[in-house]
Amino acid sequence: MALPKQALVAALIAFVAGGGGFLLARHLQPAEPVIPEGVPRVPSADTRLEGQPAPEVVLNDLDGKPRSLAEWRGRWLLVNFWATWCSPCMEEIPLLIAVQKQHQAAGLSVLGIAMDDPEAVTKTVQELGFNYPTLAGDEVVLGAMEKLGNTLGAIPYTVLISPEGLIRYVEMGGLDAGKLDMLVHRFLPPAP
Amino acid sequence: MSLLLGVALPTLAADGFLKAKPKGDGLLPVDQAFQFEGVSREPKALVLRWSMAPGYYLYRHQLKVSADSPATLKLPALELPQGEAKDDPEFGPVQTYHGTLTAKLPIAAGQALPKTLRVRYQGCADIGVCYPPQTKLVAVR
Repeated sequence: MALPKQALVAALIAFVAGGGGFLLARHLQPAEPVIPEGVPRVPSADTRLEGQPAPEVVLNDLDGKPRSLAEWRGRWLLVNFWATWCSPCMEEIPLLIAVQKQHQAAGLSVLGIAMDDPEAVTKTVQELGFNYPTLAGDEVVLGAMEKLGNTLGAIPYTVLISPEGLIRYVEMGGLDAGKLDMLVHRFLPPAP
Repeated sequence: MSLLLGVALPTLAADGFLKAKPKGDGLLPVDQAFQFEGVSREPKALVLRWSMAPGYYLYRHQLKVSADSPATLKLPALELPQGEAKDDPEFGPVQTYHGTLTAKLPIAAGQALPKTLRVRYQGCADIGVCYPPQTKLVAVR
């Protein structure tokens, strides 16, 4: 009689574990939009760009001065497209500030590009204490994103460019601490 | 232990735990995510309609309508239905609209109507990306 009882306990444990696994998976899996039948899908990030030279992009900084991405040649450049009206963008900014602080000595520069009104951007930059430069604009930012592989105009959108000016990574959607850590360890040289 | 894994892992795999996190492939262009269906005229209101694809929503606080022609024409406040409450981590309590949205611009008797309306809206995908504010100019007939 002992064997059926053990089997019953094992089955009960398995049932509880399976249910827990299901709930855990539901919790960890982000909601994905369901694309209706017949509606074309559009690739959001052109990963074919990875390994290709970064295109020339010139945008104004918050003082109205034109700045080129080529100015950061020689450093790893993490270009983050954001806006004040984009909640997922705002969520990742403290992480980008931390990454800039921790890894600038290893050759990483974060660059924010805001698709927004420069006044609103300036206010946010001051309030959040950005420690990296920010460029801003409206339609011209959409054009810059398109050059860098984002044809949808949706944000956040992040592109990592190597010191040689090659696109090494593109990401549509928010970056979390784990993903930023992965990028740093995958691409940057070890800290001196 | 092997029994535990044997039950738990297929459950996790089946529900996507072992799949890569979606990178946003399959996101819709903005005009398909948020289809603005234009303005129709009713006896006491101009009616504006949107249809959102599943997985996309508009923010109530980002919906704005003004007269474009003539731009000096003052319009009454847009009447919007109660939205879904969302506790946004950045913006605090906000309201959103999934599915369809019908908004009304009341017309008083004898009130001058604009020839063209300027309609502004902005929304996001549940997956965690947002689209730039859209502005549409629409003729009032």
